[in-house]
Amino acid sequence: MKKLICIQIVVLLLFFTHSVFAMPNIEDILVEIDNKIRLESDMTASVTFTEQKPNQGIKVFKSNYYQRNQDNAFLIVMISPEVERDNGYLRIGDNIWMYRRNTRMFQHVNRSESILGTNASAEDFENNQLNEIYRPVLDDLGQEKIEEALIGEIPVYKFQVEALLPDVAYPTRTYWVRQDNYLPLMIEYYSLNGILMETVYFLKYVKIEDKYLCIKNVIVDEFEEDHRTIIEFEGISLELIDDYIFTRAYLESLSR
Amino acid sequence: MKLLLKLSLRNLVRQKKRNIFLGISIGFGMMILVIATSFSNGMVDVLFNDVVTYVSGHLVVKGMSGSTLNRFLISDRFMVEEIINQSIDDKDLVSIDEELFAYVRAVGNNTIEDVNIVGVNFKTEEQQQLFNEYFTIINGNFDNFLSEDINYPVIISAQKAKALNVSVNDSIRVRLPMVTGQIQAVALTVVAIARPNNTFMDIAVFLDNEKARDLFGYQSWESASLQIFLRDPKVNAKKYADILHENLKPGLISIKGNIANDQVQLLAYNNDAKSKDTLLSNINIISGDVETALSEKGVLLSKDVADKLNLNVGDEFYYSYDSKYSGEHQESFTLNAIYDSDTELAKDVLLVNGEGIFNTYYRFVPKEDYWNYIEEDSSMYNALAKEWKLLERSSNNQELQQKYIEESRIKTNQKRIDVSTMYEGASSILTIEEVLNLITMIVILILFLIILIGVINTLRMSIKERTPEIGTIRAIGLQKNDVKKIFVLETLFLTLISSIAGILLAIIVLQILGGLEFELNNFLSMILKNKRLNFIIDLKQIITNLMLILFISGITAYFPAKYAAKLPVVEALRN
Repeated sequence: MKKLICIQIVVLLLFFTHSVFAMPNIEDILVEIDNKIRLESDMTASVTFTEQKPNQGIKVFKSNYYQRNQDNAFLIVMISPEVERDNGYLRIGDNIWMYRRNTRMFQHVNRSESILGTNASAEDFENNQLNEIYRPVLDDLGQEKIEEALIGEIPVYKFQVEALLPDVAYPTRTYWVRQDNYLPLMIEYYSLNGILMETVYFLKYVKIEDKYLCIKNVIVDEFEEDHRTIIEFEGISLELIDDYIFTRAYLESLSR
Repeated sequence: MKLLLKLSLRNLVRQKKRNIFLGISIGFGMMILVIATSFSNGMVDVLFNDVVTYVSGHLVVKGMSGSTLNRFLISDRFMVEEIINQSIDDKDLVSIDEELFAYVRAVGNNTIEDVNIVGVNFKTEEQQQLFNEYFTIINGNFDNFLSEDINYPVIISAQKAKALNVSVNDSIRVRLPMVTGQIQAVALTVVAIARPNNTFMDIAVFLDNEKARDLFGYQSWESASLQIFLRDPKVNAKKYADILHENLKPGLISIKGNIANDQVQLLAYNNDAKSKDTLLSNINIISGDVETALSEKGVLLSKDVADKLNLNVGDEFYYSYDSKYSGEHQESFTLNAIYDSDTELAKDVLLVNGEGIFNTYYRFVPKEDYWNYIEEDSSMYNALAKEWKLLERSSNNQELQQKYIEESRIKTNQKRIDVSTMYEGASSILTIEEVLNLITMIVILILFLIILIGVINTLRMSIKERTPEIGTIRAIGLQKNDVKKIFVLETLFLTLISSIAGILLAIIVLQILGGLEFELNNFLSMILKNKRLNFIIDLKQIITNLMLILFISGITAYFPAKYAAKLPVVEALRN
């Protein structure tokens, strides 16, 4: 009997240590996510924002998106609706400008500021390295907060990270990444005081060259019920983009 | 004189029809004048005392940062308050209040609204009285506002309570950006619903300023901006703004700290090309890459210090200093270059790019700043980064806005400090006051014109009709001067009686108009007080206007009266 109990304890300990040590390191996952989804080439695409707001119906905004790999610059030029046509958002270095065709004025905006009043922000289009912005959240025992979970039938790792810098809009994030390839399926954004503010669902990835690109995601506003934005990418090209595209003059010239 | 008075009064009564018409004109004009001035006074009272005061204070000191200058932060409000107290005479200073507010999305019971959370201080009886002047609690309990047991207790306007579909003890969830750039979400508890006496205040949700400070992410020594309330603001605001502007001139970013227990002064250089050129002309880089050393994260150390501490390019080191409010602070640097210099910079100096140190400087305000040995007028002084950028004073709102637009185009971590008065901050409202005064002035001019034409015409007719009478009274012994006086007195009596009638009538009209309630939901509602038009009857102003009208009518009457007095007796009798 004693022998049986000892065997059971050993099995349990083995199981426990296995489940703890089998968990990958969060920082490694962040690096792997970057390796998988962070583009190392320029990108051009058509981006559609479909916004659903309570009592306001559905609004669809179409735009052209340009991203330069070299310096993380990007340009979003609105195509429709007509009232938004040729308005845009341009990021060069640390500067993000919003351009308004009617006033022909560029205005500095924050990274976290909404694009067109949707749930999307300039931050969502940045090509930053995750481990430069976030670090793992540790529990009381100093262990990384990571566990196995399921999204539908897909096994995922669920883990928490916190911002390294004090000016990130949502300082804590919970990632749900696939166990087989570390692609994020869901991210929850928490406010400073731990309230769930936004959830992003990554619905569809495509593999372009050796990178995975999410071509459809939904940002669900957890604060305002029934407020969500679907972002869809189409016509993706990874060809080199001329530098003049990433200039204020170019954006201005579109509306002349 | 008694006879003359009697005669003039009798003459007034004799010419009833004509005088009644003229009297009605003067009375009507006076009535309009009293109504217009009372309306103007009332509107100015609402706009100036209720709106301007709460929009911009009489004077505002703003600390601005962020890419759109939309982060309001004064890192050391106690220091700024001290400068304000030194700049403004005690007799002219009413109070220095913090301006804490944030426009937020609020979720009530199945409804979403934009509201303005305003931090207020209602702790003293005097402040509570001020609240009662502007608000009437219609539901709930004011005392709960300061309760520590309730989660973020707020007082909300009846209009917003209706829009958010909440009542007392209900929660309102709000999402707001903090001064740090993070997003905060909390539940506020409605402890009272109040009706403001001005629609302008309908959007506000009032929260105790200590709790608002915590909610918005300000430390106890920080503030968004400081509003200054003055006695006689129209006279004092601009004067004190200029003095304050002068006294808020920034010093150098200069920190007294240590590297490995060795005292080293940290100085920062500006990030522009001219400043960097000046810096390079004053130092000689003996080790390290110039470009890296002058980049936004550039760090240079004088040869003396580097040798003493045995530091080389590429080494990491900690610079520690005592902060004013948060104890010792340690900042990690990587050395990019070592320099030598013939100037004072050769001393124990650590040079960093301002852009790399501003945020730390504001978050951990140094306890001891500089022992300043660099002359203020020197080119080196201008090349070194200042504690903040003091914006030039603006003369009107347009200039102020233009200034902010231009500043928002400059990408820097350096804080900007601006001093403005109500004349710039709320000049559009003050323009309304000017327009009102102009309208009143036009009414007065029209009234004077009526009197002028009416009196001249009436006297001309009167003299023509009464020429034989003038001849008769002159023949029985009345002097030329007496004739003149009769006519002038007649006019003055007529003006006085009709003006008084006009004033009485105006008071009745004002009582009626002031009693009407208006349900306006547009910008015009801003001029209402308690949903009613606000009339302020200024007795002094009325008496002044009355005196002026009497004077004008007297002058106007004088010349025809003089003509009548000069009529030759014989000729007058022949008529």
